[in-house]
Amino acid sequence: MLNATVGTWVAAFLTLGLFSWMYKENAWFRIVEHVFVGASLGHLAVVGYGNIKDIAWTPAATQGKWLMWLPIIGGLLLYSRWFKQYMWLSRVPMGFLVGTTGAVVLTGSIKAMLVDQVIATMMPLNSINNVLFVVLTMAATMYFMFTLQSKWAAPIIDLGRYALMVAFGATFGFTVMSRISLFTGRMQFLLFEWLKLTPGGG
Amino acid sequence: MLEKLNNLDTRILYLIMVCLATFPLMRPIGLPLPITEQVKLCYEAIDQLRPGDLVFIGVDFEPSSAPEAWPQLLAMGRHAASKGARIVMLSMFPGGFRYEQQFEDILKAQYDMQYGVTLLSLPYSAGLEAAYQSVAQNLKGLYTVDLHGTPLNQFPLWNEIQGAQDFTMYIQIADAPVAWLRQLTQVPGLKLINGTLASAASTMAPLWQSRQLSGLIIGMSGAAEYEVLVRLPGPAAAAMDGQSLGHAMIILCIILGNVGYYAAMRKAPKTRSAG
Repeated sequence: MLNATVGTWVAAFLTLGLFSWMYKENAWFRIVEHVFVGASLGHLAVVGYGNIKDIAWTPAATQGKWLMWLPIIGGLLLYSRWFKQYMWLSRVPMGFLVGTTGAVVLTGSIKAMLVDQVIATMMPLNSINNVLFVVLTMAATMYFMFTLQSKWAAPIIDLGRYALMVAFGATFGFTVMSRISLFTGRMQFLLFEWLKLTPGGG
Repeated sequence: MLEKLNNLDTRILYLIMVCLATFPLMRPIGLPLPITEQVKLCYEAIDQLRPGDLVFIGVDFEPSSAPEAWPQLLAMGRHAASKGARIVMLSMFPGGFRYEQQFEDILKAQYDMQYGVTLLSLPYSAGLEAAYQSVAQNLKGLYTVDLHGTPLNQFPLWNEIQGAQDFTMYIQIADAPVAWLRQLTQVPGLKLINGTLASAASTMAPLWQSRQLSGLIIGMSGAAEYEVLVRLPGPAAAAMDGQSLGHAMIILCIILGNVGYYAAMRKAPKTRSAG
C-alpha cells in the first residue's frame, strides 16, 4: 500500500514536471525529461540483457543447444565496426539481419499490404462512395508516376494531390485526437488516483 | 486588430485547453457519442463467440499508450470473457506484461476464469514481427513457460492447443500498426480484430475497409463507443466530453490562426507601399 502511495506521488511529481513546460522551460521539466530518457535507456538495457540471457546464453551455455552460439557470435561481430581492421566482419551478421528481416516482412506484406488492398479497390461503381474511392485511389497513384508529363494527365494528378492532402489532414486530426487522449489519461490519473477526487465533483 | 491573433500567448491557449479537457472529467456534460460502423462490426464479431472458443488477446502496448489502449483492452476483453471464450494473452512489447497481469486479475475476479483452464498469460517474446510469425506458424515452439515462469505443459489449456489454427479470433490491442497483421493474416480462419491508437488510424483504416480486419476500434473514442455498446461505462466514455471540447478548441484555433494569417497578409502590402 505504501509502495503504491509513493509510486503515485512520484508519478504525479513527474507528470506535473512535464506539464510545467506549458508555462515555460524550467529546471523541473529538464529534470523530469532527463529522468525519462535515463529510465527508458535503463529499461531497454535490462530488457536487452534479459533477451540475450534467456534466449541465447542460457540455452547455449547450460542446455547444450550449441546452435544458439551462432546469434551470440553474430551479435559480437556487429561490434567489430569499432575496429577498422576487422570492420568487414560486421557485414556478415548485418547481411543476415537485413536478409531475414526482409524475408519475414515480405512474405506477409505481399498478401496483406498489396494483393488484398488491390482486391479491395476493385469494387462495383454503384454508389458515390465507391466511385470516389476508385477514382481517388487511381488519381493518388498517378501522382507518384513521375515520368508521366502530359497535359491530359495534369488534372488527374492534381486531383490525386488533393486526395493525398485530405489523407494527411485526416492523419493530423487522428494524431491530435491521440495526443488529447494521452493528456486526458494523465489528468484522470492526477484527479482520481492522486488527488482521490470523484467524478461529479465529490 | 485581427493580425494580433498570430501573436497570442500560447500559455493562454494551453490554459484554455487544460480547462476544456479537464472540467468535463469532474462535471460530465453528456455530449452525444454516435457508434461508428467499424466499432459496431467489432462488437458483433466478438458477440458471436461461443463458449469455449479460443481467443488470443495481444497486449501490445506500454504505459506511453495506455490511456488509449487500456480502455480498449478492458472493453473488448471483458466482452469476450462474458461470452465464455477461453482467453490466451500474449505480448510482444517488453512493457506489456504489467497490463497482462492486471487484466488477468480482473478476469479471475470478475468472470471466475480459472487460470490454466480458461485463461492463460504468455510472457513477452522478443523479435516483434519474427515473434508474430512464430505465433502464426509454431506457437508451441515459441513458448515454454507462462508469464509467471510456470512450465506451460502443466496447464490443461496449453496441452489442448496445437497451434494458432485452433483459435477463433485474435484481438490485437496494438501500438505497432501492421507487423502483427502481416503474419497473423496467414492463419486460415482466424478473425482479426484491432484496437489501435488514434495516431495509427490512417494506417489501419484501409485494412478494415478491405475487410482484412473483422473490426477496428480507434483510440479512446473507439473504446468509449465499445463501452457504450457493452453497457460497461469505463475510463474512455468518461473522457469523451473533454476530448470533444478539446477538438472543438483545436478547430477554433485553426480557424482563428488562418484568419490572423490572412489579416496579416492583407496588411503586409500596404506597409510596403507606405514605405
